[in-house]
Amino acid sequence: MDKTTFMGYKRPYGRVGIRNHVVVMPGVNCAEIAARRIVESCKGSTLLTNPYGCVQSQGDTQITLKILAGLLANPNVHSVLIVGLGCETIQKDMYLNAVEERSPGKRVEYISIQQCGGIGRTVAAGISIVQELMAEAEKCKREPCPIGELMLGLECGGSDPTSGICANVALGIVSDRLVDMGGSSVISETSEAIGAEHILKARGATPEIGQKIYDTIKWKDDVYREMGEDIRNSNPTPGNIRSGLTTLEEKSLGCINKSGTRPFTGCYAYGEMITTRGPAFLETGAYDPLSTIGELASGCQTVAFTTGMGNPMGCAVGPVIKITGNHQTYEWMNDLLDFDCSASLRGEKSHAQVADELFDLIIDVCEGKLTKAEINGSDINTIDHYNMLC
Amino acid sequence: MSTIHAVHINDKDSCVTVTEPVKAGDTVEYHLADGTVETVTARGDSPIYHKIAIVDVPEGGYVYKYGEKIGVASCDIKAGDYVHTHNLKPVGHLQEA
Repeated sequence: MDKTTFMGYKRPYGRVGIRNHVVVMPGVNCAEIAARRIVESCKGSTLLTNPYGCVQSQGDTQITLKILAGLLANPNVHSVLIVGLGCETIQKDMYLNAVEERSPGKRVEYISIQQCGGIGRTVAAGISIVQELMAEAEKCKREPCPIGELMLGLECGGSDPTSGICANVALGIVSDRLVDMGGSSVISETSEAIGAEHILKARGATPEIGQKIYDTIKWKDDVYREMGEDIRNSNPTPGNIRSGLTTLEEKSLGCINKSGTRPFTGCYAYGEMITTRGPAFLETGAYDPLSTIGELASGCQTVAFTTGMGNPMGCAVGPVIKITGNHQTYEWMNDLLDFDCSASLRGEKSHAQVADELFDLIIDVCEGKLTKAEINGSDINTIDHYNMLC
Repeated sequence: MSTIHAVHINDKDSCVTVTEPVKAGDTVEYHLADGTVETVTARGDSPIYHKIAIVDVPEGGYVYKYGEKIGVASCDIKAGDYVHTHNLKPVGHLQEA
């Protein structure tokens, strides 16, 4: 309970990492085969997939670049090799500048298939670079860092009614505790704040922040109305409804519990780097991979992900910790879940006691304990489109 | 007929979340914040973790959970009724703070 530090990797640009990844990322989807073969040949390196990189609208290109650069700039990433094709929209300097701006001094190398001359020569060049980066990364050692250096993503997916009344309550207590230690927590999924907009607005640390959160939620509601839809007809999902969530408002009011009770100190756009301490609201789609990746791209070192029905997703650059308040789900899908909150639902423990255990688990993960998503090797990457808002 | 446990969150709430499956006629038992134990007789079956009304809500009235509006009754709801998509619709508009 009294622990105020954890063992992390101090980065030269002032942040603290909880992993020490050497990341290989294709600069464009077309180049993935070479990036994948380099990672296969360099045990311990990490592949970050890239679904785009070329021939998107200018708006979409900027979003893709922001998310990819944000993931590469994440303090869990020691250094990077980008493997481009050569002719794609997002060129070498665009990547290098975007990562440098977000994490000054991070080493980012770039090669391209068209310049190296085919897959074989690209893979050979890439292996040599990654071996050198991994030798450098080896020299980084964990050292004591304040727990307040953590930025914790808060996510829920595959929700059932236990999420809102159990797992998210415990996570909210964790969020408050982290914030009280000087840390940050990040809630996203704008459309899953619909029904709770008045509560979030009132929680702004200033009237301006509260209004910005409210306006962001209203904007998302309006986007759907302008398309002739009501988002309340597509969310909750069939699974949410089968498990007992009836309306989007009910789902949202359970969702926001995971952000705790402390005042919001920031409201950020999708792809924007979060620079404030305290709870932040991040605009993202409500599709779980989009939102989880969005939180990591905005600077979270890890994401605490509550689920009622179970969800295996993970991301290459940061551990995603799976938490459930549904004991049956925990038993049934134990190979993808990290923590069972349900003792509080049965009255065997208080929410605060469960939150203490969850907080300890999160710190263990920050110090290197592998999550089920990491053990399973789930490393999906999903990026929103300018004109596709989920 | 069994006694079934349920979670009651806020004094304003018009429904509780059952932590076991419910059969019509079961007694649904829940604790208020001050520790008082209340019961309602289920008028219908409910799967685990779904909702049972604890007060009457007329058609067009708001149903509360977390002390907040989670929807509008699409028909008269009686205390003990199973509450789900057949009798509860979204609020449908944003609320002012």
